[in-house]
Amino acid sequence: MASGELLGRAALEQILPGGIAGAGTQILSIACNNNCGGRCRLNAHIKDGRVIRSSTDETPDSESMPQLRACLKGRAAANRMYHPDRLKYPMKRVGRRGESEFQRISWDEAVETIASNLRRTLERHGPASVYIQYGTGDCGAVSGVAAARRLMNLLGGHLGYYNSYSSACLRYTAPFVTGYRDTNSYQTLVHSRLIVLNGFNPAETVFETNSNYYLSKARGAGAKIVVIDPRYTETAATFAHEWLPLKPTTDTALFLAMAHVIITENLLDQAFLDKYCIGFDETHMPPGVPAGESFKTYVLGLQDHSPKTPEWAAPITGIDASTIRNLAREYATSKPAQLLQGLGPQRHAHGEQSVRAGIVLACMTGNLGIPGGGWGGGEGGRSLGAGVGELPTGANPVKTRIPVFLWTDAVVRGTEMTADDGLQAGPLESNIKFIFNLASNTLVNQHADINRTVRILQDEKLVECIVVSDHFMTPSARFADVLLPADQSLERDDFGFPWSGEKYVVFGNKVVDPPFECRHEYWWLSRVAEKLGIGEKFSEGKTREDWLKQIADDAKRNNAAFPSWDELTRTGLYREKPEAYVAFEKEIRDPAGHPFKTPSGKIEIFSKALFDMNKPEITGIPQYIPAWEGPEDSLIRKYPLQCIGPHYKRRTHSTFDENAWMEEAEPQAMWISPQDAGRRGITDGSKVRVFNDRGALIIAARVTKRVRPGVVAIPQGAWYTPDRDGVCRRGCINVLTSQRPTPLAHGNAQHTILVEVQAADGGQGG
Amino acid sequence: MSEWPLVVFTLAIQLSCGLALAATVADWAGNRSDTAMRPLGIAIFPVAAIGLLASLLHLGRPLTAWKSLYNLGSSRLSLEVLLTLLFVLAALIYSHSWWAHRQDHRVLTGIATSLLAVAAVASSTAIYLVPTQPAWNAGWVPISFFGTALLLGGSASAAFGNLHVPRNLLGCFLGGAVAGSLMLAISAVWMFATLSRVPLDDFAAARLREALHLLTAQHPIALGLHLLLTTVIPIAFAALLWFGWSLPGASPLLRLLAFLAITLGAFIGRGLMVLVGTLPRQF
Amino acid sequence: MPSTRSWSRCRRRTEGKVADGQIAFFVDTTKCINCRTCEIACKDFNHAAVGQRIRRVRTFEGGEFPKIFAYNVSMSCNHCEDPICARHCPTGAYSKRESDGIVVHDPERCIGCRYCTWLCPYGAPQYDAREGRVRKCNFCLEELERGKSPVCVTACPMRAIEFGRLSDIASRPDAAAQVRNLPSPGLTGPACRYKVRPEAERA
Repeated sequence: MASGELLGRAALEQILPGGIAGAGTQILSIACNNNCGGRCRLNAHIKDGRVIRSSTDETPDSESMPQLRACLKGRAAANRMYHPDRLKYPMKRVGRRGESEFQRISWDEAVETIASNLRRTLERHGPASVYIQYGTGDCGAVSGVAAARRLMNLLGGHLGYYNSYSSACLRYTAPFVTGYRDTNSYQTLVHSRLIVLNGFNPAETVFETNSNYYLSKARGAGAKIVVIDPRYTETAATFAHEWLPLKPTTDTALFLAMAHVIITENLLDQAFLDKYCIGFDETHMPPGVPAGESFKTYVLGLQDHSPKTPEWAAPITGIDASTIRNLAREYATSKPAQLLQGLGPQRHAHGEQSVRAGIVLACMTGNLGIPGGGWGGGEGGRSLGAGVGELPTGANPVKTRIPVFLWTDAVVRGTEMTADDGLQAGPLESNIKFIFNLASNTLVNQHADINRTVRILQDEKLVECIVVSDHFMTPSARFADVLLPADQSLERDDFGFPWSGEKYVVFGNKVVDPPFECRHEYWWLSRVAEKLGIGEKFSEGKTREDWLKQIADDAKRNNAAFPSWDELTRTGLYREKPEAYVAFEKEIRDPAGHPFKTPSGKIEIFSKALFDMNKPEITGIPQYIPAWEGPEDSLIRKYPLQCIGPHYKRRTHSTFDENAWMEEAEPQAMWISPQDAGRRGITDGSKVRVFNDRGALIIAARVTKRVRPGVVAIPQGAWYTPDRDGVCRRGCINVLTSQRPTPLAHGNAQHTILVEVQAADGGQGG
Repeated sequence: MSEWPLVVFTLAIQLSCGLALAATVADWAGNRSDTAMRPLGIAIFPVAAIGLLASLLHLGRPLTAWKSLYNLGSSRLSLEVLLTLLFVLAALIYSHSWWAHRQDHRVLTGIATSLLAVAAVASSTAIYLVPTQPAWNAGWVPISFFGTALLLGGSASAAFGNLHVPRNLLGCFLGGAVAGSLMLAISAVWMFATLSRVPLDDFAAARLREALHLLTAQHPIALGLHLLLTTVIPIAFAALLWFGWSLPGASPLLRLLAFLAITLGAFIGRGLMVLVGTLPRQF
Repeated sequence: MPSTRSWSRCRRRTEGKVADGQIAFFVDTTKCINCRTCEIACKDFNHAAVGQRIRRVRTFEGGEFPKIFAYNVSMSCNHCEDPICARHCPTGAYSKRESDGIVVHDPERCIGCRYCTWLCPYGAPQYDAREGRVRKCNFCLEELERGKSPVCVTACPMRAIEFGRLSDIASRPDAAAQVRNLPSPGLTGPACRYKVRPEAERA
């Protein structure tokens, strides 16, 4: 063994990567603007025009101001940028749409093609025929989507949408109960004695930069943590004291059974219910409602003769009755208790009910509006923000809006859509004819029932023109008519916003030039605007950078503490001290002065508005309705396994699927229980075929106890890679999902799938 | 089998070791064996050299191979490289003396070469006898290596150097081959015993389990083939000869095939041995 | 039939042989969420190739459904007291610094024989076929020289990885040298310490 002498600087320089930092290395903050809920501080280290490494938040790390550390994806930002498969040049389609045959064109030709197609579409079909696809590949302040909206709003408008693919049921439904949707901030968790995480998995999905940090602190402070999830997620493994392996789509049944226990064992916070809520019992109903419609009546089964006992819920949920009973008692007696529902439980056939049932449960125990006690759906949705705006898009002259999930309907039968479809301010004068798909993989990959979508898109008489801008040849890019190469976040200046929870904003510098002919959408949209005669109105003579500077100036004008542009480029951050924020605190403290923003001014456990809609699946109170393609659907005899599509730590939706480092860290694989695998001759690592009536895919199996029997989990976001028979070889779950929307929000029910699984490759392992 | 250069290397060195022993023994038995053993004596060096070359192919940077002598004070691998180089050098001299019909002092040269060969083989087994490789760290590895040397050397000598060799010398070569076969059989049994242990250390236990699974579930046929070719064939030949079958009367093709079959069996066995310790790591 | 004979014969005694200045990682596996940020930050800093995981996280699962558990162990190199890689590397590419006990790998000296990948029980040396060389955690010497922490330490969103003098770390009440399913510390005397949950405590 060589003796351990101190290696001199010269020797170190030989063996260490990138040499010693010092002369020639510049360190600049960058923005990582993916749709993960985190917004972290990242730096790029640049030497000789190349990013040689990254680093994260280097400000002091303290409990009152924890660093904003990036995750594995953020640390791979440069790696992603240097991927050899970057789209390099503008291209136009030759051959049939979807065949992915492209020819390189100049930017001039691309701009001309887009402008002339847009002009023709507007002339023939009107502005409501233009659709700017939902997409969150770029969450910055001056994004391609914002620029496209700005353009269209100057050209007469475009078909709008409401909801999102993330939180349709939550966003739409929570206001019926509490007036608006809100969550206690993570800083309050440390006060909780019990934290119930229902389909909430920040350890894998981030959901704000320091979510797990605060969860860990809460656990350290003595909070008991219960995870309700079909999978033993990383969140469960690290934080949970107890795991309830629930069958997907049955959350509402669980909560109803818990409500039953709380009622029958007199664990109610009756004072809270009487003071703040209507609809809980018969004596607190709004006027004009027949008797027997209260929540209590329903739970006790007084009207439908089906008391929602733990014994009733056990076979439905797959959780045994004593566990349900114990959790109910614990939830009612551990105060304050925080119930956090992730976005998974609201992304199924009756996601609306999960949301409502959760809120009601919180109200029954008085766990709302107090530090450590609350109900939260996802990340909250409040905009504490930091006063930093985005590119102004102006008002959309077209008032018609579709539910975002029904865009394929709007392509096929837009003019026939009605309010029953969730169409707002209709009718539509035209189906969708022109689609901008910018920094988005919704066109194909992230929308449900890919085989159906593909057939619709292949018909060039339906959608006449599709313009796509992206970094790679994604499944959506393959369906472009004009395909444009976009720049990445390190190749431009930008702001980055957290979802909510803290008042801060990050600033990312442009650290390298975009390669080849990659350009930001704002640039070519400006030129399209010029072609269409509204160049000045669109750009106001500003480049994208000018707009950013203006946004920064505006922020500084509204807030003297906001840094100057120079300081922003240097520090990459404006951040105020994180505060513990309690949702509905005002309403709870002073209900007279701050009534809930509902028709009754109270929390509407019973909603007359919903009741009056008079639809069988839209109920006055939260009810358990068995999901179509759920565990009680007779289809389960043909397709015996429930399938869910969790969000994967190595991707943000479909971003990073192309990345080799991410694939090495966590390869695309389907979780399946040893029981289900054994019965089918499937071994760990072997390839399996997963299919239902809508499509099929091949994926590697990960046989693990961490998913409940009867359920398989295919991480969503993998790129649709069909073979000659249309079978996806990469494991894109959306070949299996359905385009059927949820009843109230008309949202995506993408965790409602029944499948069968078979060994492929003769069932050999490895 | 990504480590095939190593397999070739160890087999070649072991074959040339066996040949060196055989040639030395033949020389010691008397000059009349000169013509018969000459091709084998000449072959010692090129076979060893091929082995050395193969070991270079195993390296990520073959042109820097000379650096492998830098840690002689501590590294078993440096020692193996040195001893192998010395053996190859000796083999050059020894093979040259066979080629040039130089018989004076050839027995001594042969003994020296053989000793170096044995040392080289011994040092190569030491590579595998490390506590962090529970599947290898047992007696079955050295027994396999020396058994292979005897088997390959003995069967090569019997197959190719036998035409005018007196019967008792032929018997000696075959005896060596059979001894080698028996050693490989013992090695296989010992290996199974090693892999079936359940040590207290769960990491070691897991490695042993994985190795056992590799052999019995994933490559049982290969294992069987190895045993068949390296034990059954030599013992069968030996038995035939014992019962009076004339080996010199057997066609050259048959003898060549037999030797190739034995070598194939050795190759398979060595490949499995390397696999057993280089399983994909969990960490 | 359990047999520890060959193990005990080779076990090294480590008491009293710890160098004063030995530095080491401390990994709190109870906080680790298996996010792999440490792996990627390390790869990024070291320009590691695909297939070269200089820091690696491994998950162990156990129990019976639904009472199961899982724990994650993040490990790069343990900078062992008795580094078997350094002992047997034929080129002397490994050296253990006297000052702080870091086992440094010099890629320039590496000939790509991969013997170290056979020797190390922890899989610390990571080979890249394209380069023909092995790479290993060098404790981010470059960062240490600048007064900074190793990249994995500053990267971990859970602050689960720390580093410091082994003498300080080892004396923490929750510091364990042994983790279930990991190689016995008696083999090479790893300097790393772990905080583990009860299921991960060594039997």
